This record gives sequence, structure tokens and C-alpha cells, in this order.
Amino acid sequence: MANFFTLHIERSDGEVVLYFQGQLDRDRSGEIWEDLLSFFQRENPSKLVCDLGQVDRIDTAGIALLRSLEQRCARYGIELSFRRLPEIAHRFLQEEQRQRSGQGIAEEIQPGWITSLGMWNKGRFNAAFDLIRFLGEFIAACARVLRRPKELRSWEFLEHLKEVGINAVLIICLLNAMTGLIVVFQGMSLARSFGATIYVADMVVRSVAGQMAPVLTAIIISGRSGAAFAANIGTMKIRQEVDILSVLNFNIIEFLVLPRVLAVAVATPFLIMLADTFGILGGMVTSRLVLDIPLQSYLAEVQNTLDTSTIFSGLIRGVIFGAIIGLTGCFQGLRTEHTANSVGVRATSATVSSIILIILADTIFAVLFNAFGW
Amino acid sequence: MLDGYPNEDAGRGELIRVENLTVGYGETNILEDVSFSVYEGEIFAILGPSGCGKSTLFHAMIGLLPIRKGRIIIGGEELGPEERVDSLHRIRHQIGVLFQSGALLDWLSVGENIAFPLRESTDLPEEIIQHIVQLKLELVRLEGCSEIKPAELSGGMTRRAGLAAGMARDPRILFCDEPTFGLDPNTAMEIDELLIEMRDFLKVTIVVVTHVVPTLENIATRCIMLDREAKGVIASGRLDSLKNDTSDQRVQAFFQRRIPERQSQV
Ligand SMILES: Nc1ncnc2c1ncn2[C@@H]1O[C@H](COP(=O)(O)OP(=O)(O)OP(=O)(O)O)[C@@H](O)[C@H]1O
Ligand SMILES: [Mg+2]
Repeated sequence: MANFFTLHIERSDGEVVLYFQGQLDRDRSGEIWEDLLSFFQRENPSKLVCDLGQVDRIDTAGIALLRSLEQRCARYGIELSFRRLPEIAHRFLQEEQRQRSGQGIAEEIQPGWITSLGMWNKGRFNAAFDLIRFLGEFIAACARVLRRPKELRSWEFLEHLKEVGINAVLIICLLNAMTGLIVVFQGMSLARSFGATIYVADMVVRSVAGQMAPVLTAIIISGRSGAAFAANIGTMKIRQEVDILSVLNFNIIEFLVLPRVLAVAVATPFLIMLADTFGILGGMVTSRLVLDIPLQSYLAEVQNTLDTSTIFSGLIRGVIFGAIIGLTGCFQGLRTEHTANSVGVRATSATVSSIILIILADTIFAVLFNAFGW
Repeated sequence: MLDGYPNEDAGRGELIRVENLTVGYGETNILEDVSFSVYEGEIFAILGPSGCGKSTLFHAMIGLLPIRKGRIIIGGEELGPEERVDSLHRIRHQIGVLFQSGALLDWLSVGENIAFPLRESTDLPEEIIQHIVQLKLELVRLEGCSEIKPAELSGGMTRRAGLAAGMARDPRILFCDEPTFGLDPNTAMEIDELLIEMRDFLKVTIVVVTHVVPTLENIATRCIMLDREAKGVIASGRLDSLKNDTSDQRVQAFFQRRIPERQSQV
């Protein structure tokens, strides 16, 4: 047993005395508690005396430990008493609990017109510098989490995954089914002029699954989640919650940014697959109703046209688009300043800049896929 | 000049030392060459009219604003112009903070706000953490409010809950930015009493930023006064000596401000 306390057993009346010594504080109480638990497993005293005469430091963690001890003793019918309690402990352990009502008078909280800038606006205001720093810290955080995956805030990640992914399913299915419908209507006359209406299935696959579903999905996600990230983090910044977390030694990137970015980067490819599927289904239903194309031949045509590279490129684009949306949203959120409309401004610019970046990235993909003949 | 009360400070350790500190935003320095010390067990006040740089100094002291020149030593750990993540971490492990706009995370209940820092930075078992939460709430007389969300609290309660959260980890130093700002005099006095209680019971050293004089008179041991034009400290020492024995016009002006006057200006 470590030297947190020593035991002195007085046999005459079965009384056990625990002499606590040294620090009884937040850094030691965890270990002391474990020792106490193992002590209770070994011994079964009917009377326990805790002597705190040699404790040089006690804080509320220490008092909490003594309270836990009180509770445990009461539960097992052990008679507990304290000896030489420090003054501060007295108040919380032996004095009768004063029931004081916690009422304050409501008042208007005036927002401080200037407050923290936090780590984010170091030195001169310079967006490019901020962005580089942000990306650098993000990569560093990724590297840390890759090395020790346990450090990933998995609860936050799942929360965001649900919000970004599951809650977007309905709107994405609906919009992409409608896209399928539009493509069929648009392509109808062209396909007729070739004398083969079945080609609408090709059009649906090529335009919806190949191009529109990924971009449309990314734009919806950017409007839903990118803007939400920016507004969310921005509000936290204004309320100084980001400062609170920094002061508690949290790494802001690991705590706020990484789970969000990861959640969109994971959710987007799946949503794109779903979008592909519903686009094709929308086209199928429309061509059955309007062009009288039998379902089997439509599906056979789809099977012919749809190759793995289309699906694969959709997935890759999904990951990249997702990362763009997440990073832009969080970056804009962290740049929020202390003015009233700042949150709105940031949310808007998160959406706008991520849409621009998505289309830019899509252009690059188009060129690359073409060049490599995928 | 700064530490002109040797008999008072004798035997107490110096806990914070700020040396020739220069901080600012963008092109301008808000404070230049500021130096002072805070001793163990004090309630140390940073005074000055609105906009003089109190919060700026406050943020620099807890490492939220880069230091341009000089250094800050807190409990033996040094902060300087170079970023030193490890010493910043060690400093932050010893401090609790109550910000001007509150100290609670909105999405957690009051109790969780206290438990959360403990779970993250100590290895205390959940049972003990729950007791600590209970204790802290008793200390600020909010027992029974553990499940409530911060948004449902009144202004005074929010401040008290913030104090409990700031004290969650039993810090050596508690930093408060305008803890009584916007509260009515009675509620403000309650907060002041709580601060004194924290110092006496929990042996915490307190650094408090404020521009409200009356509440201070009963709590601060020593203080410094900042000024916007001077970009630094214009007076320091015990509050009563600052108030009564000063010949400095700016200091006199600060203490003579009365609430009716301010209202008539508006
Ligand atoms: N984020 C910022 N960017 C640029 N200048 C700032 C910023 N925050 C504060 N300042 C400037 O720093 C000066 C001091 O501001 P600070 O918030 O430190 O004042 P204060 O003494 O805390 O005032 P108050 O009592 O109103 O809280 C102000 O003149 C302000 O113009
Ligand atoms: Mg301020």
C-alpha cells in the first residue's frame, strides 16, 4: 500500500484508525480512493476513525473523498468518525447542511463589447496566415489522432455524423429523385430523335450519377452542415466558450474541428451513393410512367452504363468535398469576431466559399479523370 | 514602489510576476511595459475605466493573447513572446477562469460544467467527481441546480455557477473578469462575499478585473490601476491608500465617479 494513509488497528474494541498524511487533493484523491476500496475489501471494521492531523493540504476533491467515505460507511453500517479535521473540511462534513436557496435577481446581461480574441487572431489580422496555421494545426491533430486513435472525440464524432448524415437523408433522396425526373424529361426528345427512348437511362446514369448527384449533394451538405458548423463555432467563440475550453487545456482543433470534419468526410460519400441510387430510381419511375419503358430494360441499361469507376469517383469526390465543407465551416467559425452580425457573416461565407471550392475541386477531378481515362 | 507593503507580503510567496509586459492588437499596443506581482492568498484587483486594457491584460495572463515583450511568471512557469505550449499547459492546470461573459459551456448542465474539467484533467473516479460537484454547488449556494442548463439561470446565479465551474479543479489561482458586472448591488455583494469565502476556505489566490469601485472596497487586498493614455499602470498599492492619499488626477477621477453622474452623462 502506498503511503497515503497508515493503518493502526486497536483490537480492544475492533476500532480501526486510518492516519491520512500528505496531500489530500485533486491529484492524489483518485489513487487514495482506490487504496481505500481495496482496504474495505480486506478489512471489515465495525468502527472507523480517520485521523487527518498529518494532512498538509486538502481541497474539495479531498473533502469529496471523505464524503464518499461517509456514504460508504453509512451503507455498510460502519461507524465513522473524524479526528483532527482541517477547518475547511469541518464546514462540509460535520456541520449540518445549511439549506440555502440559490436565488439571484435576474438582470440583463450586457455583452462585453470587446472580449477575447483567443489564439485565433494572433498578431496582425491576416486571413492567409490564419488559414495556413489552421490547416497546419489540423494536420497535426490528424497525425496525433492517427497515432492514438483513442484520443478521437468519438462521442462528438458520432453526434455530428448523425446530424450531418442521417438528418440529411430525406432531403437528399428527394432532391436527387427529382433530378432523375428532370433529366428524363429533358432527354426525352433527344432520345426519341435517335429512335431509342431507352437511352434516357444512359443519360440519367451519366449525368446524375456521374456529375449532378455528387455536386448537388455536396452543395446541400454545405448549406446544411457547413453553415451550421460556422454558426455553431462562431457562437461558441462569442460566448467565450472557445476560451473556456482553451483555458481548460483542450486542443480546440481536436475537440471542435476534427470530429466535425471527419463526420462530413465520412457522411458525404455515403450520401452521394444514396443520391446516385435515388437519382436513378427517379429516372426509372419517370420513364416507366411517361415513356412506358419497362423496369427491366431500364435497369439492364443502367447496369450496362454504370461502371465501378463512376461509383468510385463519386466516393472519392465525396470524401474530398466533405473535407472541404467541414474545414471551411470550422475555419470560418473560428474567425468569428465580436460583432453582432459576425456569426451570420461567417455562416454565409462558409457556404459560399465551400461551394466555390467544391466546384473548383470538381473541375480538377473532371480534368484528372479525363486525363487518366478513368 | 510596486510592493511598498513589505510587512504585509512578508512570508508570502510571490505567485504571479508580470515583467515589462507589452501586449496589443494589430498595429497598436494597448499596454506597454507593465510590471507587478501578486502574492499568495491575495485578492488582487486590476482597476481602470472601460477600455483601458483590463481584459487585454487578463487574456495575456491566461495565455489567450500573445505577449509582444516582457514575460509573465505564474507559479514558476514562464510565458514570453515565444509560444511555449508545455509551460502554458502547466500554468493552465493551476488556474481557474471566470470570463467577462460567463464561464459556462452552454450545452452542458450546471453540474456537468463542473464535472467536465475534472473528468478531462484528473483521474478521479466518478463517485468522487459527483461529490465535488455537490460541494462546489453548496459553496456557491446553488445546491439543487445541478441539472439546470445555464440558459435557465438568472444573472447572479450564472455568475455563481461560473465561479463554481472556475473553481472546479481547485486551482491555485482564480482569474475573474468583471465578476459583478451588470449585477445589482446586493447580488454583487454576494459574489464578493463568495470570493472572500473561496480565498479563506479554499486558499485560492484571486485576480479580479473590475471597473466597479464600491464592490471592491471590501474585498481587494492590493490593486493596480491602468490607464488608456498611459498604456500602463498609473497607481498601485492598497485600495484605501490609492483612494485617499493620491495626488494623481486620473486616480481621483476614477474613485470620484458616482453612479448618478454616469447616468446623467448618458
Ligand atoms: N479584438 C480586438 N481587436 C482590436 N482591438 C481591441 C480588441 N479587443 C480590445 N481592443 C482594444 O483594446 C482596448 C482595451 O480593451 P479591453 O477589452 O482590454 O478593455 P477593458 O479595460 O477590459 O474594458 P471594459 O471595462 O469595457 O471591459 C480597447 O480600446 C479596444 O479598442
Ligand atoms: Mg473588459
